[in-house]
Amino acid sequence: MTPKITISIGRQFGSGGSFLGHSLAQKLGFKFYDSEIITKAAQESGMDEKIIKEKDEKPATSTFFHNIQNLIAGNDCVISNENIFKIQSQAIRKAASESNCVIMGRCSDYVLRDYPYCLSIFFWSPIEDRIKRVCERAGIADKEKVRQWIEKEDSARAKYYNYYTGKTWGMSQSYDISVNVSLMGLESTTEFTIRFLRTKFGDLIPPIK
Amino acid sequence: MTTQAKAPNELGTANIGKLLISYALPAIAAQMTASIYNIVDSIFIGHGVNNPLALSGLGLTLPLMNLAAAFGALVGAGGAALLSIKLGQKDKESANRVLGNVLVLNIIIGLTVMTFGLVFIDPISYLFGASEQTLPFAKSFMKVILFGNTITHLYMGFSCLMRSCGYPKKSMYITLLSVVMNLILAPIFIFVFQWGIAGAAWATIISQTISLIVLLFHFTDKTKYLYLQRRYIRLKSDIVKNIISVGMSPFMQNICSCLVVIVINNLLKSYGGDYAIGAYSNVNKILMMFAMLVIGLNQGMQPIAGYNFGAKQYDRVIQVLKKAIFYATCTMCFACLVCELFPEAVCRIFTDNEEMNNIATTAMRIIIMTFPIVGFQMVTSNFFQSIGKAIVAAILSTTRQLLFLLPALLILPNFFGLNGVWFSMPVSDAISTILAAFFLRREIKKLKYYNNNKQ
Repeated sequence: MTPKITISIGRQFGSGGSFLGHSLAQKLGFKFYDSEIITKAAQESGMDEKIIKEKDEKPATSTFFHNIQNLIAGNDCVISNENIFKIQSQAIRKAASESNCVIMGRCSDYVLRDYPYCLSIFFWSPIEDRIKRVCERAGIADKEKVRQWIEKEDSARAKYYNYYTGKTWGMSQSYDISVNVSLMGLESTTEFTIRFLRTKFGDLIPPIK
Repeated sequence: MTTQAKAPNELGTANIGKLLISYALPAIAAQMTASIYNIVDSIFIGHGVNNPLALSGLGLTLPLMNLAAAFGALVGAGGAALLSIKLGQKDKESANRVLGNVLVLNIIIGLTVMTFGLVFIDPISYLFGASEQTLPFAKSFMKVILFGNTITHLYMGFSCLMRSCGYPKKSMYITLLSVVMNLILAPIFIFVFQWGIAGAAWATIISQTISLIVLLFHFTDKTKYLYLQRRYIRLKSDIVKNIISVGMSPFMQNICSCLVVIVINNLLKSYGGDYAIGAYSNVNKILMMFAMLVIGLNQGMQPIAGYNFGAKQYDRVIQVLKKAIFYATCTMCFACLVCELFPEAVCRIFTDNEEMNNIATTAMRIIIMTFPIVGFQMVTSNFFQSIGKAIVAAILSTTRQLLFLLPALLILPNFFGLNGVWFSMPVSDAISTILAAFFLRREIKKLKYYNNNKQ
């Protein structure tokens, strides 16, 4: 059986990371998992999708109130943050073993760290470019509002990532490669990434569709 | 962790009544051991020291115990949560790092509390509600406990970690070991060596030391998946931050109950004197024993309600909730009946002093009045916890022990004196039960609606 390739993508909010993930998946014929990983986790575990969604990419400490009784009993609450993360990780591992795929965020680079056919990429770009992009995409004119929105989203992703992985979100050492999307634009960045993948994995990367 | 692999199916299909019993019984047993040990300790002090004020002195040290539990929770809860994530990801290195950080954090906090506590032991005792007469008792107990503070922290922290890394049974046996050791040592120190109230404290610290040694044997065993390695025994800022961010809320909850006890003891001192503090300490231990039964039941309900809620089997969720409420209410009604009918007999197990027992009898009769409905309140607040509604759970658990209790404590004694202090508790119980009923009614409606509209 030929090994399955996984591209794990971390991204700043508004950097165009989702678009890149999508187009990589499309061009290479890979399966694409963004919020789809939640659906998969729900199917695999029999757990209500809504509950997993509630905890998705949110810092574990957002549920500030723990119950002291929970502490005495040990943390065997079935729908605790830790357990949901575990269920989601299992879905990520399953997805990686089933087919070539692109997985957006969700600490997938950490979950698959011992998997030799996973390449982790972090896409980022300067804040001005991201504000512009989000303004256009969402049709909002107020730049200050968008800046706050971006900062909020990034801070939530960072907290989630840092808590579960023990690494630092967005730091170059946390990933195999880290790319400034503004440098070449979306189109060329996609092509660059595919070339990079081909250099690393050779014939395991199918021809562009 | 060991049970998780097979548990899910069973939780979703087996008979709810049987499930609840099989999950609740071990938890109840664990709670009862701790509770009975507390009671027996008081009995030893009450009968071994020829002065009922020793019991008052013991009552004064309760906030200190809460404080130790608070710091234990700060490191223990956060460490356990982080460890379970790392173990779930088979990230051995990070898991070992967590272990090392828990060790260092506990030692730092333990030594700080010890130094601070021993230096300011007099003002702290007075703040806790001590008088000239009770100060020597409170002080001689607290000195020993503070001295062994680091050991207590390490013992609590590591037994917490042991549970979350796949040895829940071994962790339970080690807890049991310290309880049994305590039950053997305490009477020797108090009755044979005549060490008084300090003897009870020494018994606690020595038995925790023995248990800690057993724990450390486990955690230094190089054949185990996890063990303490020298290169990881240092603080790492991001791990410390993660541990504290999760441990903060149980820490705050313990700090709150610590403050409430301080307020109660001070009110008791000014409205009823030293004997009232001792009386409350005795009554509280009995009431806690019954409350622990319900807490054990709750712990049994938690995984069942949580799993079935997650699996959208709402009818099973409602079923387990109903069963738990029924058992809790039966238990609490029984408690109420016993304490209302034979209050003197119950109070006399601690001391033969008439003055203290008179106060205790009145107190017990008043406080336990609302117990038949308190079972419902406790189950409900835990139910919200188990279905992931942490905010509602937090509101419900803080109303009873803090938000409604504190105003009642500050108002009622002005009009009714000592009885006002006692009445604050059933009043706060009653109001918070009404609140719980309100929240639960809404939730049940939602659950029934979901259940009827499942695809």
